[in-house]
Amino acid sequence: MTPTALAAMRESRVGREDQQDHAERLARARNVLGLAERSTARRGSGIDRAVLRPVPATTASPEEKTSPVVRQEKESLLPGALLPVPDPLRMLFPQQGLRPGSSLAVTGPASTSMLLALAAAAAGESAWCAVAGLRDLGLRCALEAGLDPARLAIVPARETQMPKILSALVDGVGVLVLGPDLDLPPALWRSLADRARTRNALLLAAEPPGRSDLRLETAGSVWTGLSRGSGRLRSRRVDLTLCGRGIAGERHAQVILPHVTGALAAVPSSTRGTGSGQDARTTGTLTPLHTAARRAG
Amino acid sequence: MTVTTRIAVVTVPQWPLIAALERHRRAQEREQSESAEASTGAIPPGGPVVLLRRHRVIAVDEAAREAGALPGMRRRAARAACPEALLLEADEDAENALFELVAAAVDTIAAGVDTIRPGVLLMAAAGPARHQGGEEALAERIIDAVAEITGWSCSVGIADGPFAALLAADAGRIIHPGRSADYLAPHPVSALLRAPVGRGWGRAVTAARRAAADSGQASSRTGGSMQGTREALHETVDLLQRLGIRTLGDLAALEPAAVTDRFGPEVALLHLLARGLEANPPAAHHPAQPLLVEQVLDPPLERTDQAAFIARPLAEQLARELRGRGQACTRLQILARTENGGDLERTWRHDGALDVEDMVERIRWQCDGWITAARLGGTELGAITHLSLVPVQVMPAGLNAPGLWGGAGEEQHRAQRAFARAQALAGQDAVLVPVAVGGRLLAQETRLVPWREEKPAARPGPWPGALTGPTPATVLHDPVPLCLLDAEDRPVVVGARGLLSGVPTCLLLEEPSAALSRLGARPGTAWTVTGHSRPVLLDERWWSSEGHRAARLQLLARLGEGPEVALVALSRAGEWSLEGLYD
Repeated sequence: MTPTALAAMRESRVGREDQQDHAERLARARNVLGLAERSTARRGSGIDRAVLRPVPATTASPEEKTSPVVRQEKESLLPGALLPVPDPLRMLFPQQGLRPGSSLAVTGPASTSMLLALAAAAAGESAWCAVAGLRDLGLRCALEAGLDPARLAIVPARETQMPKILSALVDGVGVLVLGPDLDLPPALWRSLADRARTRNALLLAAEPPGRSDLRLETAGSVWTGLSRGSGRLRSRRVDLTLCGRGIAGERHAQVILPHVTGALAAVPSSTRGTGSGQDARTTGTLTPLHTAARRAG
Repeated sequence: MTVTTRIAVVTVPQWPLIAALERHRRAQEREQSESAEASTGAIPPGGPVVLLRRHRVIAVDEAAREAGALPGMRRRAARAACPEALLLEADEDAENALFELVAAAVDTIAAGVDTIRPGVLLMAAAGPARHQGGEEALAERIIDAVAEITGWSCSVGIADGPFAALLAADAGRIIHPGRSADYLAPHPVSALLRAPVGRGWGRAVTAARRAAADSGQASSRTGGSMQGTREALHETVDLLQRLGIRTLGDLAALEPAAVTDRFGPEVALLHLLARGLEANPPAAHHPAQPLLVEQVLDPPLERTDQAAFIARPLAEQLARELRGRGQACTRLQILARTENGGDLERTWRHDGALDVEDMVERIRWQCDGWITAARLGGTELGAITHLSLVPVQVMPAGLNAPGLWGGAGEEQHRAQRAFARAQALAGQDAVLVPVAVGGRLLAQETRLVPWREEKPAARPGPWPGALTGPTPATVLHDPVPLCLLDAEDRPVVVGARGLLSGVPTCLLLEEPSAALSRLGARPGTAWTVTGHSRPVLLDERWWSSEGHRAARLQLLARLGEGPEVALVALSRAGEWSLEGLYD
């Protein structure tokens, strides 16, 4: 066991145990287990880390417990039953996650980065991810989005054997990303979706030629940080529209993708709700950048 | 311990007999093709057939049964009862190998098929049934697929828990959810002989019996073999019958704790099965193959199913030799020579050690892929006549410890099988993995290498000028030429001091690009530039003669009234090209 793990363990022992509640101790124990596991595993990804994942505390009120409908929903919300989505998107998706075996179409001007962010979240800590049909995928962007390179495979677009390869992949991986370069025939898309359903694989597709369970539209991308001759691209605000199974009508959300770190982030609450980001750019962020650019010379 | 899932069981009735006949037929065909005189020893179709194992009859067909040959007879008695019968020796390995065909056929309908023993397949039924639109439809589809692909008839049973499904498969029945225990109860306790237990079952029973008998000179069989399991089951059933337990219902009525106390954990497993429950999810059963190694393939390998037969002996021999040296193979080369003298080779790399199963799968998929490719792309190479395995890289065995806890990498196993399959279909380049190596240009920062190939060493920086901050999601590996114009339509260039010659206002795309055409840009469309960064200079290899100077510019552009698009443009020798696109 590494010194870090021991230190964490010791800390957990001498800490004010009487004041720690159960959940905190559990989280700490999971952390120590994770550390020990990471220090002993020869193969980094050979282990199902779902058991080490912290479980969100459930806060169910008494009247919720009695209602069968709510209970059913709670059961399906057990960790592992649904694939996670990035935290800022949780309220957007029905049941705050993606069902394994379902398919999600992502379209619009921010589709590639959105696909990567969703794939990284859904792959989580144990699932494998394969990306097909993104010929010019920015690999660094994929890694910055949070995809684990040890559990990621890229399949270049090919013409002859592609249906067989995709069928093999959908049997094996937890998350399959289908890019726009594939030109999937509708029949192949249907058979892939069927196969994914039986194998509990999540299909994320850029431009599927057929129906998908959910459809996420990205639109209205507004960048901040760059002006005429100074600054740099810092972040982009994207409007999202989700429709499909489990959603009455449409749901809307606004997120930052990419954030400065390259990941997906929630829109800060101070600027949330301002209709277009144009105002924020001209008033809020431009001035300090401009002076900084002046000073840089 | 007491989880019950819907299980579908596919059985091929009289499988050892079918397999032995098939093997016999193939041997005959081979003989006939070798010696030109045909049809001297052909089997009369439908004639009586008697299957022997260790000089005891284990299976007979209808004709032989009518003539009086029954399972359990000695060879001589069977001969006497039915002198015209064809006597065949059972070969468990051939049964297993042939059963791969059935497994593959069922695999086309439902995934995750486990072979319990040759003749019996088991799978979870819930998902496939939902997919096929009901359990009846699933059963029909499986029967159709097996008949269509292999030509044999099978029967399907679906129930809660594997044992009930297995017994239901004989009658081709589907037991309603929750009724498995009721279905099992009237069956005689001898039905336990066919209980779906793994090959390891019965070790404790055998050991206990041996200890009781105190027979120092142990029999030659090992507890782990299928034969040992079968004998242990016989003994258990015999014991239960002597104790007055006649039906599975009698057995199920016993107290679980009492059964465990009296008989031990292995009989407790049978008790669990008899109650219609399921101990643990079905584990894959992998048969052993004979020690015969035949590297020269005669007849040559022309069909994909033949690959299954030749793969295992080769892998076994290799594994045996490696084991003798205390080594494990991490990289395996599979070489094939074809009729026309062509050589095919492919190297397989494994993160852990390749065991026999891994090797067999790879050989099989490899041959499968080659044959399919030959069929699709013409036959200039011909059939495979020679197959050999070369362990390219070995390491001391024992370094591949599995994880400490958790699901032991089931997902990893599945993914790796899928990747290996894809690579067998379309070559090593079909599955690539990214490796961050480092570099100034976006396209050079990471490299794609075939899965399980050696990864290139990282080139540690610093890389002055490398893009920081959010990186584009699309990086063009074949740069697309661009044209940047200022307000007076003069081209914007980066001067020697690293400054732009003008303020870019217009961006022209000169060649078609798939990534940009998705955003609606065609060659010749003009984009309005709404923002740009200062140029960042990249001094590539300034110390050597092949050095370049380049400049990078982040741009915000808009096509008509469309959304703003962020791009990264690269200037080299006065020419702009598109490096990346934030999409």
